[in-house]
Amino acid sequence: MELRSYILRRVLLLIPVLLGVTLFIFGITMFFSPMERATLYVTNIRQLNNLPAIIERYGLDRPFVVQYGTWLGQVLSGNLGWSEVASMPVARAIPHLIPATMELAIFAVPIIILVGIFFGTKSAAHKDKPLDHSTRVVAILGWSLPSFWLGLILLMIFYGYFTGFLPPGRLSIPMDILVDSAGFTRYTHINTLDAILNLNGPVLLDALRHLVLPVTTISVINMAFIMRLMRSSMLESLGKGYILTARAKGLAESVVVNKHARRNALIPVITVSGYLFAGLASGAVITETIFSFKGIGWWAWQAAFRLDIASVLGFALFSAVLFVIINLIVDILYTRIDPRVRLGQGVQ
Amino acid sequence: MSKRLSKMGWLVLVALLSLALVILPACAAPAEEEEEEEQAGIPYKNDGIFVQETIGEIDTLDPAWCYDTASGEALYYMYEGLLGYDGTATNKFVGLCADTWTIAPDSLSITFHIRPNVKFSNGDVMTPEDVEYSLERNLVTDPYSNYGPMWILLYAILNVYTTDPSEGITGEAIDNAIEIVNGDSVRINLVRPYPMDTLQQMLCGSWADIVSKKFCIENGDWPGTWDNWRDWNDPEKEELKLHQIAMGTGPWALEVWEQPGQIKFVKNQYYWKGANTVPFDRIIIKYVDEWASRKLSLQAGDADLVYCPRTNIHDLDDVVGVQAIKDLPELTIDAFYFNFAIAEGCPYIGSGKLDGNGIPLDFFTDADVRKGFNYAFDWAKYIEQAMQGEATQRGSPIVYGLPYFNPDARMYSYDTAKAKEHLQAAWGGQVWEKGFAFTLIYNAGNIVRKTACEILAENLARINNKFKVSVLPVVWAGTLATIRSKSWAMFQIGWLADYADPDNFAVPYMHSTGTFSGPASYNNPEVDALIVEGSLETDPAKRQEIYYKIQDFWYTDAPGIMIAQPLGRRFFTQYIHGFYFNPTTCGQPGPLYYMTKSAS
Repeated sequence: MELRSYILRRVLLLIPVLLGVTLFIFGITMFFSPMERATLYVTNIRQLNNLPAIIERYGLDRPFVVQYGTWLGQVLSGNLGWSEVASMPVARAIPHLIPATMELAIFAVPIIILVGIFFGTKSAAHKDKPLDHSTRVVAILGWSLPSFWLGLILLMIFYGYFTGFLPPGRLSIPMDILVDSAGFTRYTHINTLDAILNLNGPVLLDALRHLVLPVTTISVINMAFIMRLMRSSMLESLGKGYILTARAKGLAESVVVNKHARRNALIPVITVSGYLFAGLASGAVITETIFSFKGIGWWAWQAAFRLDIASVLGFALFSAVLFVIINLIVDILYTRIDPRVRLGQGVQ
Repeated sequence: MSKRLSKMGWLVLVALLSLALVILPACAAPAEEEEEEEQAGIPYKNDGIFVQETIGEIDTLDPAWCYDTASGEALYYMYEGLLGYDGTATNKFVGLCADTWTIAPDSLSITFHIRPNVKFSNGDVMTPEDVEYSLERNLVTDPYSNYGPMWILLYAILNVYTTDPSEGITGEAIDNAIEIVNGDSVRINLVRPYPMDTLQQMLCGSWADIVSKKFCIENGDWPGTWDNWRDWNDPEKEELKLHQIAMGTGPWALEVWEQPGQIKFVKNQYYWKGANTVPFDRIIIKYVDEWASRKLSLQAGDADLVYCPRTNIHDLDDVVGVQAIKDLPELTIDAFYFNFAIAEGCPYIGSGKLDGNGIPLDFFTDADVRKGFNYAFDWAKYIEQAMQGEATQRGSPIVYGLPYFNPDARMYSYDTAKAKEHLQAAWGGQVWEKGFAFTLIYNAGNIVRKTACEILAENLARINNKFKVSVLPVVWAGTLATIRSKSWAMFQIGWLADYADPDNFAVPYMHSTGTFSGPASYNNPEVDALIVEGSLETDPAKRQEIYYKIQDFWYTDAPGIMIAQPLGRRFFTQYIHGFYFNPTTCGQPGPLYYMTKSAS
């Protein structure tokens, strides 16, 4: 199948996916009474007696189909609704919140994948040896750590104990003021990238300093998973007949491991890495909350907590599109790694 | 072999470089800290900037919609009304946009001479037209479907609670209520006499902030015409023109509102008292959800003030350099409310009968039940355990700090003998004989309220082991929905003052249509009449008499258990000076214009 038609097919597939996801989420929210959903608009206890008026105004007591149809009609006309949590239209909230989340993902994902693959490979190649044992222990520890605990501990040590050393947030006050000044252009709102584009070293250093703890928190936990996956995938590959053949041919062990075994072992890791990136790009809720890195994850969590349906649906749309795109990229990457794989036809 | 190895090595190198890129800058001394002056405990940072870390994001910047403390605080820095509170007083006023004012002897109007040479933060001169427009614009906007704050001025001036067409309010009525006189003054005309102290308090609120007419119209707001004023009435929040922008005469101007996360204000260079009198070049409010993070920011000197939850107030006791200002009597109070008419199908009343496994729908209509519950509550334990010792028991919703507060008002006390006596008499002795069971709900995560529920439940069980009260957390949305739908037996809730008048507390707690007493179905016509009479009485002596009676009605009717008035705390760094407490000021920092920050 041609790449173009494959992409087109995937894009068309997106339509039922989006409909299904939003229908499902909308359906779930209907389990909450109109009164409960109306509390989203209550910012002050004095509004308590106005709940019936709020229900009427927003049509919260109308049949499910009518409410979903109304929302869908709005979406088709380009209006994703109003996000009470972000205090702005959903269509503006998503691009507004993405930069913080993307900044975390951009730094965390390469570290997670490359370090995970490296140690996963080493661990498999040295199976049952000290390197393997220590890597497995580290992986289990990392995977077992709750992110809120790790985040808080890191914060207490590197911000509390070493006063102000590695702070939370995205920028320190002077840099934050600087990036809002006329002399600094915010091209992407990704601070590190903007600092590079503005050739501003102090802002870059400051932004990086603020990234250390959240990136470390995310990396430690997710790296462990990639490491374990790579190890088991490598072990499977190393047991295959073609590896035996390669060794019988007298190839060096490093060539056997790094060329023949690892390339095949990468396929499941790439799949998971794609989802990992999509997952992180759609928000690392706890990390964003603990380190005041308010991005998409924080927004989605707040929206779910407050029954902000327009925001939740907007987030679902965003995530679904992101996952489909990442899936597409992963599929294309398969063909590069494994020549036997053809788009839309699996392994030949 | 070496070629393949180096390929992998490159990949790892890239990963390690990424890691190094992130970690190494941390090892370098950050530029902004080089000039820090190390003081005992907390480093001095960000000279000329006041940084606050708190919770609760801003809802809006529109004065006609703003009805939450976070938004109110933002408006407080950017806008001014005609009047402001004088220092710590809640019944003395100073002129802001007005320099003098005259109250008509018949209490039917108040005339403000507009202060000359006051400028908006863009340099435009504020005129009487701006004042007239602002008050009218806020009344016209009145977002009544979402219960905005404009009822406050509408009731005082026009004797209606909303601009809903069913109330019969017309554009002409609003137009006539606010008028320019002599070209340099603005008069507010009332449709009936109203207590002028209360009206002046109301005019200190953000709902009476003065906005720039030109700025508003340029941004598509109400053009000041009356033929189509309904087009701007009761808008959706997304239709508000001043939702994200502002143009006021206050000491600071909006720099940027980064939703969500933070808002920044910059010094108003045209401030009428002189830009050099404004103590901070910038104010930054950061919204940080995690307490540990806020606490560490204070310790690191990155924040000058942090919000501390009640349950954590002792976390900062031993931190050198933290300035804890205590015992601030806030105009707020928490109370348990009894439901006089529980809705059918309520899930929290067990069998729904007085059979030992539930309570009937009208269980709390018996005064002995209500009084017995009151005597069963242990205030000392609550104040010690839940409020960390920082609260005072009050006998009615009219708390200390409000005019006409009666310090000698009758109050219940923890007395198991009296509790037993009343509960034995309740429902002709059936309560004592059969017992009861119901569930007491509180909003999940509120440890203070949970403790209050547990104290009451434990004490009732001690009095008679047939009294079974279970305690259940409910998410906030569920709590509000439950209260409004009357599907509860008892609930606990608090009220924060809009303005410092007893009417603002008597109505929600005791009027039959009140925010809390309404859903609780408490209805005493005599109390209703007194509340209305008190709200309109212009003679202070008569008002005192009325409000003393209302306070006593809380004791005799016992529609709930009035718990305690909290004493607030503020946690500043040692570098912040000049704080004073006025309970009507929105937000934690208080009068920032009168405060300073210095390393000394």
